[in-house]
Amino acid sequence: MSGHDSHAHAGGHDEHKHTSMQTYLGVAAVLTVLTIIEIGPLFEWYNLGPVPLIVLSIVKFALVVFVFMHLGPDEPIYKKIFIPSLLLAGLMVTVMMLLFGTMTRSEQLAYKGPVLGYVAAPPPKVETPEGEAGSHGEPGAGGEQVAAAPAVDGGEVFKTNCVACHGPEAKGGVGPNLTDAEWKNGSGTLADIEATINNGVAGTAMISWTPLLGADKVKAVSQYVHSLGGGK
Amino acid sequence: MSSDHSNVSVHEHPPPSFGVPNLKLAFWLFLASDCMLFGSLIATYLSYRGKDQLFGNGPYPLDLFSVEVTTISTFDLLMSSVTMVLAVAAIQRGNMFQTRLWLGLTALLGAIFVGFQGYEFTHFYLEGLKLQGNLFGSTFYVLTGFHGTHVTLGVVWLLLVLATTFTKHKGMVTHLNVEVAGLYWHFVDIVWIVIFTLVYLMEYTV
Repeated sequence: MSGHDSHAHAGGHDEHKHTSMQTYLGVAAVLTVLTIIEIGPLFEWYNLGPVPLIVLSIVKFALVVFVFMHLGPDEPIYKKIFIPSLLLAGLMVTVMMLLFGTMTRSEQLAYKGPVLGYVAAPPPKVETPEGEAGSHGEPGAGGEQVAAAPAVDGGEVFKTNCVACHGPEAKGGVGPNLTDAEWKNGSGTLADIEATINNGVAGTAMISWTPLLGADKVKAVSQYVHSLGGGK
Repeated sequence: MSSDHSNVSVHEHPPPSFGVPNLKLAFWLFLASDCMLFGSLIATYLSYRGKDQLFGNGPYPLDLFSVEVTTISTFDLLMSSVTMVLAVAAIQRGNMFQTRLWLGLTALLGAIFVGFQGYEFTHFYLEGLKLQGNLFGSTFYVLTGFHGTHVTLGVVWLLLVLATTFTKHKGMVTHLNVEVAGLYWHFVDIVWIVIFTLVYLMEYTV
């Protein structure tokens, strides 16, 4: 191994800068302790906010990179290659966060809006494990707000057919907002809403829906729209 | 002065232009690009995080995550980084027995991690989390799947190095080669440190 070894040592100064076994094992112990601190909230020993968790992960990350990967004692060229890319990746994540946001746990739990979907299929039923259900804010709970006719679920009909123009929360898009008291066509009574859905509105994207949906679904979705807040 | 040395000692390889081994330099460049890969996958995951809630389209992370599995696999991967460090230290001392021992243990711990991920993916799939089912499914499977693929490749790499030490080519298993395999292995570990925090731990914050 002589030829290769001297090659490895040629520029790396490995022999002068190699890390001692005590350092490795010390860092391993620190990493273990930090990980034990991190998993505390998993087992509900205590709570940690996002900031301490991110700080802990940065410390662990740095320990592995600088000690285990020798980036600290090694030649500066490796730092010049790796650290800017790492910062660039971090910057990209940050910019994406600022542009699109992320739903924090508290925002998710606080979300009380109507649960409407872009998806046609109903959400798959998942058995929530015992005990976790309460802490989760019950995903299905919003579905009960949907005023459904017994046979046909107007909310489902809305999800499948109407959200493209009226938006997932029926707050408008290409088509008008259906949750406020202003009505472009008719006065907002159940009969008027049903008439608009039945006949369509000439010159707009609002087609006559009865041929597509049938009378039952039109009735159901009319009741649903009427229940959204603007109905009279 | 160091570049003089390298020019003298290197016969089969072109002289290193930066005064460091070309292999290691190239490998750090690869790791730098891999940072961008995982950076984009993590950014995507976080951008869509929690937004299934807006559409009532589960299953959601807390319906599925198992704290025991996550904890065990996290410690498993962390310990594999320690055994990897010991393997690099052993080859540096020229101790072939310990090199083999620690390389083998690292590969074993890596394989256990992949096994846990296989269990996790199967369990999640059967609970209704599909790749194309919702935002969480798509972003979770792609992010952790890319990481799991990295771990799997790392296990194969380590086993190849280990196997080479038993052949007549064992002279190829140099400190440099084991060190570079170690760089890859530690990188996979630090990516998991980030995924563990942002994907798993964040769900348990208040």
